[in-house]
Amino acid sequence: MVWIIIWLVLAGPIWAIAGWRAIPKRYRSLDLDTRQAVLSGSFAGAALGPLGIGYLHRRHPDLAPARYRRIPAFLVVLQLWLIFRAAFPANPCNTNAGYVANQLQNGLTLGLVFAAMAVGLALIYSVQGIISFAHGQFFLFGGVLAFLIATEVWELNSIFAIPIIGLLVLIIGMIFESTMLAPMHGSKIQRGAEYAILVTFGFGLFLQFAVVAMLGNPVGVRSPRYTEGGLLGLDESAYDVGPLRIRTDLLISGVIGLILLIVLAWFLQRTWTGRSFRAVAQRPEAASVVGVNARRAFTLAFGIGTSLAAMAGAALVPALNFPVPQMAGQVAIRSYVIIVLGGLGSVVGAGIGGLFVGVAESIGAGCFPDAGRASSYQLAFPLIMFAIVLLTRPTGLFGRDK
Amino acid sequence: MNITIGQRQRAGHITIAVFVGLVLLAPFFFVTTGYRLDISRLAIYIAILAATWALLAGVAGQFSFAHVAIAGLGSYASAIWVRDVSGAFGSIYGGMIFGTLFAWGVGTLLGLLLLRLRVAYLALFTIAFAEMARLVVVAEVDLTGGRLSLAVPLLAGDERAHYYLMVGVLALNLGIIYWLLRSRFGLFLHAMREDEEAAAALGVNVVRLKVMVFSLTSLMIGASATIYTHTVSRIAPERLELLVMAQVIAVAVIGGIESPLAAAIGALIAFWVLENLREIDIGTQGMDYLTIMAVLAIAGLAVSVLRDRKRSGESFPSELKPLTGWLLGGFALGVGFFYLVGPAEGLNGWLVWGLLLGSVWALSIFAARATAAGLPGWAEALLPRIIAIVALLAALARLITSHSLVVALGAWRFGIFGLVLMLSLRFARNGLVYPILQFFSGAQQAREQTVAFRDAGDSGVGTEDL
Repeated sequence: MVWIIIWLVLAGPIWAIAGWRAIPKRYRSLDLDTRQAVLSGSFAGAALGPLGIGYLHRRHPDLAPARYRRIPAFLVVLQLWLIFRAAFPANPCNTNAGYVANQLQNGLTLGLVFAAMAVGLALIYSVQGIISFAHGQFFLFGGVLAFLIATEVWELNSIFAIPIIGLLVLIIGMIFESTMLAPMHGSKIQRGAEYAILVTFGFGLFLQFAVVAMLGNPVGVRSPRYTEGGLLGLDESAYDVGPLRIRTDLLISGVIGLILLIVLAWFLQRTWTGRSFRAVAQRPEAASVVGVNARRAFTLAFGIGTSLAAMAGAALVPALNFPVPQMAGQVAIRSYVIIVLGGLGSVVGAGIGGLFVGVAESIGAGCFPDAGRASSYQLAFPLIMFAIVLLTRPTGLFGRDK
Repeated sequence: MNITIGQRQRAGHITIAVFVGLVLLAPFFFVTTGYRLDISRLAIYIAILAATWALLAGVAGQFSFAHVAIAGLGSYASAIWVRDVSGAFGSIYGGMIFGTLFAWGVGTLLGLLLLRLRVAYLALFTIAFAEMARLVVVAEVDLTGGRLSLAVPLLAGDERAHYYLMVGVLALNLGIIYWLLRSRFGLFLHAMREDEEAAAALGVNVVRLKVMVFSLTSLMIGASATIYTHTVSRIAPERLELLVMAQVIAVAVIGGIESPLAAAIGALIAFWVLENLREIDIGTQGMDYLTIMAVLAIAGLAVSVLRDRKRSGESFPSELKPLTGWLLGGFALGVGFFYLVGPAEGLNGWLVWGLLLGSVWALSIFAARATAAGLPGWAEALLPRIIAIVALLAALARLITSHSLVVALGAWRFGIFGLVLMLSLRFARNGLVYPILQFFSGAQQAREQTVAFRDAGDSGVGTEDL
């Protein structure tokens, strides 16, 4: 048994590399379509070892159908799960189904908030073609604003603070785009995309440390919960539904994330401005021919994207203890992972990717064998997925093949 | 009358010599305490990272965010080797060799993985790699000591010797970089940055070149980082943080992203300023004055940008035009004057000094307008810069020497750093040091002359003018 596990753990990657090298070579030598060969070859190697590679090598079927990726991917996940079961029989994830369900529910709720944030970044990328490296900092900024509004400025419930924050950050984002990023567009400047990334990076640095400086170090301060003041008639901090323990604040955060996603979908599908965004995303020149002001679409899309991040941040704060400035970097990386998983520039993909990352993180950290290190490695699970996706399928899990 | 390129180059050599002299003599004059020596070594370390990053990003066009993480992994590898390996190879030097090789291997592997990734993907992947490396270092407490940091044995010699060692490493790095840039390899890199497809069509092996530049820079930073590691007594996961990468990028951009030398000089200057920003002495009413100054500066910049836009029809001027230079110079003169004399105690200086500052500023604008046509070109180009530099130095001297009211800037200084990174990319894309280097080297003038000759229909460049 032990030897089988060792064989699976060690040989899987080796066979995957073998498939990655051998199958495209074979397809090229036969003058066949090699577009899916790398992915199918490595997946077949990882899932079935020499059998899978041998099958593809001998029979060289047309790899266009998605089943040549889906079935091996499913088998790999199954293998990993079996290895995990065999190696750590006492782990709560193997013994306690309720625990797994709770982790899943936590991950999905968090995933909704992450999705709302990442969808903003996907919108910016799809319209403008640049990635905002200040996205996590805008998320943090929104959270800190919500915290300040709820505790010091008006002592308002965070739900009512969210629209105010959204509007404020929308304006900030639009001003930033039109003064700082606008010159990076067009052909006037060489390598505009790289410089734009660095400009947003610099602004993110400024925002993060401005927030740190504004916030100081209030020890022992806790952000007010949504449920404080008997809002919505919910006064329990958590409800038990069967084996599930639903935290009210987290649930409300997730619902707000869902509402943001729905509003954005409505905006992109049903309003003229939203449709013009999609037109600009497809082809800026063609869009300007039919009367879309591409310049204004860039500015507005950036503003909306950043304000989505800030509202997501504001939504999450009451469920946390305190907005930690250091979280900006981690949150930002989460949003990068999400948009790459969903396929860069795909807004729908980013939504699904958000849920995916939330669940992966929650299950991964909850089931990690060494509990002491679990929280340190929490972000590593989405990062590993990210690396694999980026190297094997850069169009993302839900992106279209080019 | 125009000064010749030879004169400019001579002035450039003198400037560089003065700068090098300042760096070399620093431990005897103003970097005498242990803390200051520590910070100076850190500044030189950042300068090395910035110079190699300028080679990677500015020259080769590979905007990688994993630079600091690779250097940090090399440092950790060296420290762990020295701790765990005993025997003939267990010395500091064995660790340094192992750390260098480790960083080299990681960088080469990363380069191989990143071959096919373009701009956005490259940035995303490297930033994710950097964060993953930091997470592993934090989590693997048994191996790395985690957040508690790891003790590192020191190289022989006292702190001053370590300082000179780091200066030597920086010089060696710059030497290697410029030797590379002058070879065919450097030409290929330039070609690849300008147009990857065209370079490939002309026979440049773009794929191999990308891996090579990743591998080379990681070898260089690996070696430098391990040496730096063994001049400080502890190593912590903060060495791998994105904030350090942000500092490297910021100083490289401030210096000039396309020139490794400018990036290194920018790093040294920026670090000096950053260190002195830790605690600022701004007088009792300083905040008010600082606010006025900031408003005036932004207004001046806006006015000049609008004027340039109107005049040239270009919506975004690529470099600061002479009038802008005059405005900034006059403004800086006002700031320097304010700091040198300072608001008198007891006098309600808010209004008085505000008015004085405003009038100096207005006068400088007036002077700029009056003399813009009458001055020779070199004076118009050089004077505002000289005034600005003198005034800024005076202001800094005033900041550092007096001790009436100390305001800890703490977190703000990094925020200011980010702001400067953003603004210099927006308004001075060549950086702040690189144009000065170009000015002194005469390259800019030579290029202008060549273009002028070409436009005039001459077949070749007139030799008597060069």
